[in-house]
Amino acid sequence: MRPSSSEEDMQQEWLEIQAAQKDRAQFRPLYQRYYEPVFRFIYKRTADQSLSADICSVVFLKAMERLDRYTFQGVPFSAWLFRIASNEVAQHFRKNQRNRVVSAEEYHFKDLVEEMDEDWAQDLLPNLISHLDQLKEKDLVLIEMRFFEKRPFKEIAEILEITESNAKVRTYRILDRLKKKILENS
Amino acid sequence: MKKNYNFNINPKPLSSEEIRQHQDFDALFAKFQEQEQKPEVAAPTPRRNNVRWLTVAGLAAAASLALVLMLRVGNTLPYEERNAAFFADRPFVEEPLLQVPKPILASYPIDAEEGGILEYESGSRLIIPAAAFHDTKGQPVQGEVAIHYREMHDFVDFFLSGIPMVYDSAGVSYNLESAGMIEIYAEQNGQRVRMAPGKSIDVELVSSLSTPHLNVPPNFNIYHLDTVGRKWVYQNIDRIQVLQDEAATLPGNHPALSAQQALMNSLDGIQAQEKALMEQLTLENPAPLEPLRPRRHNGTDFVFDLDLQGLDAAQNTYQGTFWQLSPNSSVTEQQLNQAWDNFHLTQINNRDYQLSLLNEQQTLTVIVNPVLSGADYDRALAEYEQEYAAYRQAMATWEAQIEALRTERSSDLQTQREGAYQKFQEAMKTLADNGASIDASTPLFNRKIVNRFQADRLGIWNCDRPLAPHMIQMKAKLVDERGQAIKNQTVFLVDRGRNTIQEFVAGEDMEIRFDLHATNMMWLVTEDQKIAIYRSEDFKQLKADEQNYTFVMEKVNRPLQNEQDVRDVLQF
Repeated sequence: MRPSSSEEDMQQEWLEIQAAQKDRAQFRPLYQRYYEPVFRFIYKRTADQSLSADICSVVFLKAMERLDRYTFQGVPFSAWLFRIASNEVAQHFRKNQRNRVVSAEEYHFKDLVEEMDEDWAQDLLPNLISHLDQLKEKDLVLIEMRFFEKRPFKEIAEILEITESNAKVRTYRILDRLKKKILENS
Repeated sequence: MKKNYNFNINPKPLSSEEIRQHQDFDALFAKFQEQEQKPEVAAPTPRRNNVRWLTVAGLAAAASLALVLMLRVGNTLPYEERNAAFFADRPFVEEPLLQVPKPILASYPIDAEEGGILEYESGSRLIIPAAAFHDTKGQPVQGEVAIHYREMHDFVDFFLSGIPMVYDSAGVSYNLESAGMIEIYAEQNGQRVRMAPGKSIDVELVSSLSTPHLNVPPNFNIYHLDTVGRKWVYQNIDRIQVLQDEAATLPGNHPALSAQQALMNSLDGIQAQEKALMEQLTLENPAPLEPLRPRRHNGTDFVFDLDLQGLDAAQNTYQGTFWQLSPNSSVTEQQLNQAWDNFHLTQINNRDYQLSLLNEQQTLTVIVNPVLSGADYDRALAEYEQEYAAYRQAMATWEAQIEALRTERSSDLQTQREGAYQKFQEAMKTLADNGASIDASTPLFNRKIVNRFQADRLGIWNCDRPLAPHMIQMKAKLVDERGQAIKNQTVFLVDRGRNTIQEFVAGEDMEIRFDLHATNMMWLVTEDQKIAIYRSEDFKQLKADEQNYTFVMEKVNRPLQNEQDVRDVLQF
């Protein structure tokens, strides 16, 4: 059994956040709860354990600094942390002028192709990756969270600060474009 | 074409342990404090080649605080505090064996607007009121909801669940001895729902207590697990009803066997008389009738109505009611569809009625169920809620009245019971005087009970009592079979006579508490997900005056694929 993020839990967590807003030493339980998920989030985008540790530290430091600005609006605290993490990762790669990493299991690509109502074939993989590589960051993020990290649209929307329906519409438009390009090349 | 991303296919997975190596709140907090004092300094950015940047820099810059903290944690904190700090850094609920599949929860579909009664294989019941659930936006849930439910009864259940059994009260840490634990949650279309404000589920959790003496009244509380606050929260007193006392299975050569059997024979006779007395009492003082929960017509099954003109009382009771044939009925619509002169309607139970239809040619008897629709259903449901609340109050009064009568009329039986216990105690004393070796923690009796409480939220509920930490304390060093010291691992310790599980962290100056006279077993999970044990027979070799002891943990090289594998390894 893992703790759920039910509304009741979020309300309870909001009390913890309020306590940490008054006294940052009270941030400890939030740090302990979310360190691993945030670390994994970053690691998938860096594939480098040491770099992930560094960025993760900055993420939590910024979270502590900005905690007074956080207000509870029915969105899990984790989404707020992932948002900071996402920005920090993007900033790091921008500064260093390097390409960021996109981590995925091979079967994730199969799921992606099947979502386009197409049959999977191993030789599709290079073609698909080359088209994914040409996506804008804001589009790739949606595909990454939905298909490579299997996040529900609700959570994606919370992290990206968009509506759930907007997340769905945008994702399926990207899929349509990808499908057309793949069919053109096949 | 310019390449924009580095695709990393099938990346190497990271273990939680690897991630935890980077986790250091004290260093982060020191860094935060340092920055708070120098607000003009811009927030730092990570540097690729400075692997330990934050940890090292943070420790160096804030040595006055963080380093002291680290040193204290490392060396000088008392073991109890280090133990607490270790578990505070772990996930609150942490399943120890990742390869053992999670238990499959029983799943019951229920109409959220109607509620219902769910019966679990153990005999436990969940009574779910109508309109009991809200969605995450606080709106009432309509339609079908899946109720997921499981029970946890013994130390293997507790171990596999990873749920801590520690309760802190006024700065003192107690272990919770359980009389049964449940997990319950509800979903609609895969989304969790929560209890509506003011609603609660009546839980009747059937369980058993192992007890050395039957004349000790059980005294347990109800706690709810707060996974965010990382603690058990006291809710209420557990209303325990004893269903049955049974003799525990003892080996044929157990010295207390004949005393146990003699007591059980006496108690069986007394219980038979008590049963007859209760039957007599309930005959003389009938219990209040539970009101009939209205059912909504599903819109498809064949229904008919009855002409109740002229029958004022019935007309009021069954206003708007349609009747549908019981699912088990062999009568067809065609047989019903003719002119009838009269009918008799008799209630059989909360669901079924016997309907006899009469005309000059024949009498047709069928089992029917009343159903309602639309506003009639809504009205009946509202009335039912009121009637059910009144019924519960009447039941409480009735139970108190019956209990008073039972106490009054069973004084002779109570005397007999006390006599039987006294004989048993004398027999046990004689055995002890004659030098018989009887393990005080071996239960001689099992008491089948039902724990009754109201769950006003979903999650994990536990019927427990805190155990005072009065056991022997010993400095322990844990080593593997090659003599290598075991450190920073969770160690589990169980006393067979207490339905709980203790957790310690292995390491320098480790201190464990246990009852030297009980049957104990200790184990830990090895890195390759096996179990290493210190067995109960080895525990028996320990002496009370030993202050330090090295426990050699024996690794059981058996794969643990499921709960039964774990039970086989941990049986004692």
